[in-house]
Amino acid sequence: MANVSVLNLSKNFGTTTALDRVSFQFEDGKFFALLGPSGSGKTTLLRMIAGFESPDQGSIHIGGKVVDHIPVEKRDIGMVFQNYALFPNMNVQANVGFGLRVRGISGSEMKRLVAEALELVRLSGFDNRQPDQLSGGQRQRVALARAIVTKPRVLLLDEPLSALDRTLRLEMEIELKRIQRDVGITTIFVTHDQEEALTMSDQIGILNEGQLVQHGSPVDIYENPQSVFVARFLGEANLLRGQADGKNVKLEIGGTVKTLSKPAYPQVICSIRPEKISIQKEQEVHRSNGNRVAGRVNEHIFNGTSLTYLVQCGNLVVKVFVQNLSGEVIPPNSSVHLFFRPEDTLVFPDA
Amino acid sequence: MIFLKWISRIYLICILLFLYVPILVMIALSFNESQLYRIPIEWSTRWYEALASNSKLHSATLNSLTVALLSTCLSTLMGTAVALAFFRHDFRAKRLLQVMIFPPITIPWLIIGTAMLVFFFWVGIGRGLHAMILGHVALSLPYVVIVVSARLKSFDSALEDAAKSLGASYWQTTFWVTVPWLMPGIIAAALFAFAVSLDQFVISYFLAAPGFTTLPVEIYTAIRKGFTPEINAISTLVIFLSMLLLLGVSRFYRFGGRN
Amino acid sequence: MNQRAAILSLITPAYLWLALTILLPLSAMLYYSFLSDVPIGNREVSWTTENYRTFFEKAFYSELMLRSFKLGAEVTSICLLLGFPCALALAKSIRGRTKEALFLLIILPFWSNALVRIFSWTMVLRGNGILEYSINWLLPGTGPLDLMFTYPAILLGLVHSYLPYMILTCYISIDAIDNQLLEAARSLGAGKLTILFRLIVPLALPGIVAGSFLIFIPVIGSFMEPRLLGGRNGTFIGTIIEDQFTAVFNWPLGAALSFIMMGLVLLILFGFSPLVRRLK
Repeated sequence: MANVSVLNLSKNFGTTTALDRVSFQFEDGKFFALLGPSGSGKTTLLRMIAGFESPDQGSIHIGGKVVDHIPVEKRDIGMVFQNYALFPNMNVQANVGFGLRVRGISGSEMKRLVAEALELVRLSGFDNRQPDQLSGGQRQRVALARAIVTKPRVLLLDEPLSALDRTLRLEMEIELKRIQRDVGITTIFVTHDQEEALTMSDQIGILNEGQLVQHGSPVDIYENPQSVFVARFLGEANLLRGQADGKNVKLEIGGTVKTLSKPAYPQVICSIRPEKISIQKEQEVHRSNGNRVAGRVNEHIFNGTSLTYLVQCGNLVVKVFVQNLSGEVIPPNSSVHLFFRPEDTLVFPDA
Repeated sequence: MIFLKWISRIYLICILLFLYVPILVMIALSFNESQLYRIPIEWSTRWYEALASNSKLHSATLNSLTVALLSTCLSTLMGTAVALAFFRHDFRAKRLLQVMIFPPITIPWLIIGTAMLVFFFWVGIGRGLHAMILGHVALSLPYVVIVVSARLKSFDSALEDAAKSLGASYWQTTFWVTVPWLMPGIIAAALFAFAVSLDQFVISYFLAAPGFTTLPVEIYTAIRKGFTPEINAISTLVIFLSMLLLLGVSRFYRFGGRN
Repeated sequence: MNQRAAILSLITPAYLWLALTILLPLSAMLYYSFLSDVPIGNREVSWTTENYRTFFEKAFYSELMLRSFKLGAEVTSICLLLGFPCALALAKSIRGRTKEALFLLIILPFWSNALVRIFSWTMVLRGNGILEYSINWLLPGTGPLDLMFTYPAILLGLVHSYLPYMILTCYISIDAIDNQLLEAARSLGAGKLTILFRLIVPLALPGIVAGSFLIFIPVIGSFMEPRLLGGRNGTFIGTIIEDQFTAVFNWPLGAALSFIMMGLVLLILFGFSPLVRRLK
């Protein structure tokens, strides 16, 4: 086990910038998610840590040592690939045992370690299956067993769950987290799925256009996004344009609101999460403190545990999530008021 | 993965030299004044001029083109039909029939050629133009089936279902939907068949009649009799023509698979 | 439309054609191989196994057969040794436009006129030809090489003819190997040689086997190449069979020799069949 740190990494592919001066510390034994839209550089970063790509600038340390000139095969990493990359000419045992054999471990010792790894991923007894006789979830587990059986210093996962269907993915998320905790290995996980990142990781790093735009714990990032991009990319956000007078913000859609921090720019965007808004019919309004915006219900989407209202406020549609507490639904075309606390009203400069 | 980048480049260049140098030498010598291939080369186009008055080569060329053209039409038609049948239908003898298409390229041509000679002689078909067309079509059929099938692999059969749901009959679907979509593959297959027929020597050699030979047979006879740069000249033209044809094929068909 | 009628109308023309040009001729040849003479005019013809017996009784034929199979094995091995690295380099170390262009350049001679390409070697190898000329220019005093009309000359010509087959089949199967597999192996600590022999070669085996058969089978039946490049040294079973049909006019013997050759090829295929089956 070891911590990993990257310093000032930059990489260009032709004229496109894949990474732009990224620095980050991956602490020992923690689970990290690198989250970003496609083309944000997250996969490039992972492949650099693995050694498949070399940075144009900057350096990478694993366990406190510079690994910039160490080839992939000597870096002592474990990696799970997007399509698992199981060797089709080998059975499960030979696949999992491959890394051991390369390291000169064979015979009964290899068998024992392979059996241990398979047990960890709950695939005992699958030793003699061929990869094409396994289901997607099973292949995933074999790939994971193969990556950790050599007890690498760091485990790299490249969108490992993207090829699975939804139910299987949820199951594997829990499994992966359990295995990671059992083994205690530093794990770096690349994904474009925000839910995956939120549920699984101890720390999230968000990349956009080659830059690390924010990092922190899932709760921290979700509650305190530092930019409109992060607010919108991680979770959902209603973005309301407005003009600030140094104290309050006058929204384009009507109404004046107070914000978490003092707006330091004249042109701003306020961001409010849909679940932080409460909705009341105009004639039943009984709250007056906090921020308030008037609107008209366009439609609602009922999904059992919750309700989503789409509310027309001026020329904007605001999304509101409401827990299904009463079973009551506000019908379309009703005039409503939306309430949200100033603490939940984040303010960003309007670029 | 960059696998020993420079070594592999140099190696590839060596292989290319091995493949092309003899051909280039032959071409260079076709422009040599000396009848005895004396080196260094004295530039001359006299052998190409000599070709212009060689009536034997003219008729052999004409024969080659006739055989190639006719057998291309026939094998493209039949081969495309077979590829369509394999793509659309599942039937009991399919596996067997699929294997049966390949003997023309897996049995040595020597054996196929002599067997045709024996059989055609026996039943009275004899040798000559018709015999050669029979043989060349059989040889190019497997290539047509392979090339058209490769194109069919990326065909979405929902298109045929859609046509049928709109009321098109089996053959209307075939000619209005499937065949137009297949056209690049069919063109590639036809060019391919043409090249195969034009270059075919062994079968033609056994089926050539005294009054009817093709260009490769004529070249072979000339080489065996003792050759002159005139043969280089005609060979140069032949090799350019067949490479041109294959470049044409490659416009429509990716040789490395993965269409 | 009746499905059966559709299938029949699509496949009947082609298979009738193949029956007329492949199946019936091979049957006729089998029939001839048991005749004592060519049935022309009023010649007395009877059933006999003499043609087959000749092969086993006269060492001349079996030695030639062996010589042909040895030639086939040598050409195939050389093609494999030269072609596999070439396919590997092409498939895995070169990308984009260059890759496509190089690939096309390599297979372009593949289907271009085989006879002309063999002829081109006579230009290179002949006494006072380009090869001798350039070697003597580089290393004066080497003298004549006398390569023309020798066994190595035949070998050279055949390798030149069939090498693209091997490159093509190997390339197709190597190119189909997902790069992620190779990366996975590296991430597990495997070096280049381990990757080559544990992954690439086993996964490319179908291409290797296909290429080997596509070369071996036509080479043992070759007659034009040995004649043009081997001269008096160019006697192989292929040339003997050709002689029976075009010069000696002993069709039954030629037919019998052809079938013995095909039988031996089938035996070899059969011997490899466990390997071939494993590939499926």
